[in-house]
Amino acid sequence: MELLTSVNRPRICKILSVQNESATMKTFEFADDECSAATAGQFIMLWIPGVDEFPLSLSNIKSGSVSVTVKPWAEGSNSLYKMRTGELIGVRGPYGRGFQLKGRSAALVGGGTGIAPLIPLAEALLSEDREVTLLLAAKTRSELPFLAKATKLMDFDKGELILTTDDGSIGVKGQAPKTLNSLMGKKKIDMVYVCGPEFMMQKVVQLSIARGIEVQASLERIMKCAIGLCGSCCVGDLILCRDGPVLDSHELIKVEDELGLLTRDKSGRISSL
Amino acid sequence: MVDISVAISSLKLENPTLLASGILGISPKTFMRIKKSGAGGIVTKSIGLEPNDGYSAPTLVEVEGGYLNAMGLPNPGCEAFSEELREADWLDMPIIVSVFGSSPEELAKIVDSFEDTPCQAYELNLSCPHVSNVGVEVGSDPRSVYELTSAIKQKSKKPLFVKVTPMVPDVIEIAKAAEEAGADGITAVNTMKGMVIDLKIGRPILHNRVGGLSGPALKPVAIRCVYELYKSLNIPIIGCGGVTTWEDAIEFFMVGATAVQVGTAIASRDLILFQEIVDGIIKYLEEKGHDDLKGIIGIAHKR
Repeated sequence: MELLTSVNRPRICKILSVQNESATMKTFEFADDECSAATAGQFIMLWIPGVDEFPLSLSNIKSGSVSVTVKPWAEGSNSLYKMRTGELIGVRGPYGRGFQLKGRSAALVGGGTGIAPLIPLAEALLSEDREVTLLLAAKTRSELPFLAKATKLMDFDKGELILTTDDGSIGVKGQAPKTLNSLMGKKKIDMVYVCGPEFMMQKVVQLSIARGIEVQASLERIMKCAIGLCGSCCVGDLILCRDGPVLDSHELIKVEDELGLLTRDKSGRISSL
Repeated sequence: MVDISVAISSLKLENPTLLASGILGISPKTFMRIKKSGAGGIVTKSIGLEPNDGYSAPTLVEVEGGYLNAMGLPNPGCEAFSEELREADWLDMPIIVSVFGSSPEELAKIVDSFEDTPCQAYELNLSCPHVSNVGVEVGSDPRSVYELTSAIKQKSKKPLFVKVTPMVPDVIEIAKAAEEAGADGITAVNTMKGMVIDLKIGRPILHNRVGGLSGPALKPVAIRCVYELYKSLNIPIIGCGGVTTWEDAIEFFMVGATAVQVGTAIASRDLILFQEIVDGIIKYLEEKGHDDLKGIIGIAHKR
């Protein structure tokens, strides 16, 4: 008889630290061995007892401690946002398929909270001696997270950091896909990773595919069970919590009639993004 | 060549495995993938009159021998879901729409919306253990079971299977009421109520506190129910509860099931387990010298 696995049951963890990541985001650190073994792009289900449980990707993956970074936008994240060092959360996972490390020169395009999984991804790529261009986008300077960490990462010879804001308050003024396009004209990029608002991902995916460059995108859908049973996260014929959340070029082409356009709400109804 | 196709009333299945209700059954494109993975057909998520978000999470937690879930019957509602099915006219497979409701009128409306879709049969969910007024309460009362079953039979000529709860002293009485009301088959069984507490914080893990137990831990209960029903009913039985391997399926056939539903096992074994179960059934029948499933259905009653 198979023993009960701990992966599918919340493990109670104490919040070790809380840091402001930007004007609208906070990073929560906790210790959990299973999470320390996660790959960049995998996600966890984070439980606020009595409130809700919701999916989050890890923004830092180290042995000893890991972290998640959130913006308050729903019941669960609002509640987490108010929590302090020493308070208890539940964690199950890590789940799904994260980013696959590929290519010699990668462009990592992140928008808002979508930047979170790209930080450990950049670390992993650089540790394998691959070239990394980190392109971070936000509405405005104060909403751009992970600035300190990203800047530090780019101390590596093979790292480059490009910032872009809608209002031009820091970095290039404009939208990330446009900045990526001009980057692709200047530098030989052979792998694109993207995580952020879905309309941005849709553009980045289209751009990459048009240029014949492989792309991996981390999608977000409502996730309830996280183990491929409930179906709330279906995109095309993919079950995102198991087949994703990171999809490759082949899969992204398969779901292009939904990418950036359609999603399902908590009831399972199709709605426009 | 062994023939494992089965007919349950007028519903024809290439093989006797079905995706159980509540599992993945929400997106038509996924239905086709499940069929390509070897399933004989699928049962959709249970559909009600209005859209329903379901409960807050956690909605699922692993326990010894299975899972507890309290999804809370999330579903797009019959209008949106029937529209999605109608548009999926490329769906080329047996689709059984699971429905739930608290009154005959409600169920009649729901069924009416699926009559012109690729839906080939209905399953009446009378046994959800964690939603009040539409689940176990009505499913434990033979008179309600009779009334709700009749309401659907009066509205539709498509086959109707009634899914029963194991949480009654006499499952035969419930299934008989459905049979008398015109049900074309019985699905046995739904999950059983359970609870799990986290020791560190001293509270139930499921947001709804109570959830339904599924998986291998439920199987002996389901086997017993199918055994009891086979002796007393004249309509076919679809076995459901903890089917993970082909051996589990054979066990259900031996006590009298005509087909089996697979659900929870997908979490640990992936969709390909449908093909594994189908291959295992064929190999078993070949080895035992049977041409089809008839040779083993119900044999546990004779030995």
